[in-house]
Amino acid sequence: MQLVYLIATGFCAGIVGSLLGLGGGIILVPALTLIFGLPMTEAVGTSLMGVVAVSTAAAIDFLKSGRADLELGLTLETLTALGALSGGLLAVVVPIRSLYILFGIVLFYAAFNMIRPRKMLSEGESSIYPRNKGIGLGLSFGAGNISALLGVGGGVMKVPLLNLIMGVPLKIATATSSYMIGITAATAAIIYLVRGDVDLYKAAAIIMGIFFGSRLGASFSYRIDAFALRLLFVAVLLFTAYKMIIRGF
Amino acid sequence: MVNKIDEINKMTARSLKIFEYAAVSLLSITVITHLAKLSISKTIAIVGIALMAIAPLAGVITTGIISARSGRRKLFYISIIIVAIYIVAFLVAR
Repeated sequence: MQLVYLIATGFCAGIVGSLLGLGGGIILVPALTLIFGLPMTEAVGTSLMGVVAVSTAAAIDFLKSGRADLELGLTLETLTALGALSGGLLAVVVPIRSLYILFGIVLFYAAFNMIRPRKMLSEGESSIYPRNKGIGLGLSFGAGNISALLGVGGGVMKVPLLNLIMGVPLKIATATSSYMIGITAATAAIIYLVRGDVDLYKAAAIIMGIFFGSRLGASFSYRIDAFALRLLFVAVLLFTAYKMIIRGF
Repeated sequence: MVNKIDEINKMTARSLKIFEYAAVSLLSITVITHLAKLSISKTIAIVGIALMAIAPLAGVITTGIISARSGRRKLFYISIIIVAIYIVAFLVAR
């Protein structure tokens, strides 16, 4: 019966991920720890596999339509993948309680990022890109670390980085970030997988749910009121952030 | 040059799709065999999860091969670096 619930969790993560442009990790890690009772490290490893699935499904469409900037994405990914490698190794030494607290902080930031007034650059403002490549590469390393430590894709960090700091148009930034998330998560996932920190059956059920959920979400994306969904999701994020921080103390 | 980028994008997307479908098919079989309590489910799960984990890497390798063929050396070298990091991650974790 638990597998059915896991498929449903993956399905929800896939729908919300494709509707709001998220990797799904901020849904999967709290669900796996708070609902399914998995230890934090195992939840992170299992979630990373789900993030790879969400990103792969999204990247296929973004690459076909030419919206993702492959060269820029891969250039940044050299440092992000290195960050994921160091984050995956750091996860063994970082105390579990601090991971819960850090995850709560990231959730608060993600919620704030979803409701704040957008100051994103328009297409005209960002006609020449990438700017500040050095800063972008440095921050990519940080994003890779966070991704591997917490089992999230890091889209909430990568999109503002690409758009606001590097001057990449928003549509291209979102698509490029989606493509990058998969490579980052896969680099970290391979570490967790080899160490045995991925629950194979739970990951299988979640990926199955994500596969169908992300496709359904994509087909509904034009019909659903994204703002209402965003507000609902922010409320869920704030509640989950509170629960995660409480668990850390 | 635009056509070359298009070709790289399309081929990368195609390789991602192949790996995604292969992985999801195996993982679906895993769920069914696990529910039926068959011992083979663990083997299928390992192969399916491994396929999913290397799907982005397969995309990067495809990008590298196509970019090398179309003379985009920078993209080719970047692809090699990412594949190398991936292999290091695997070896370090072991």
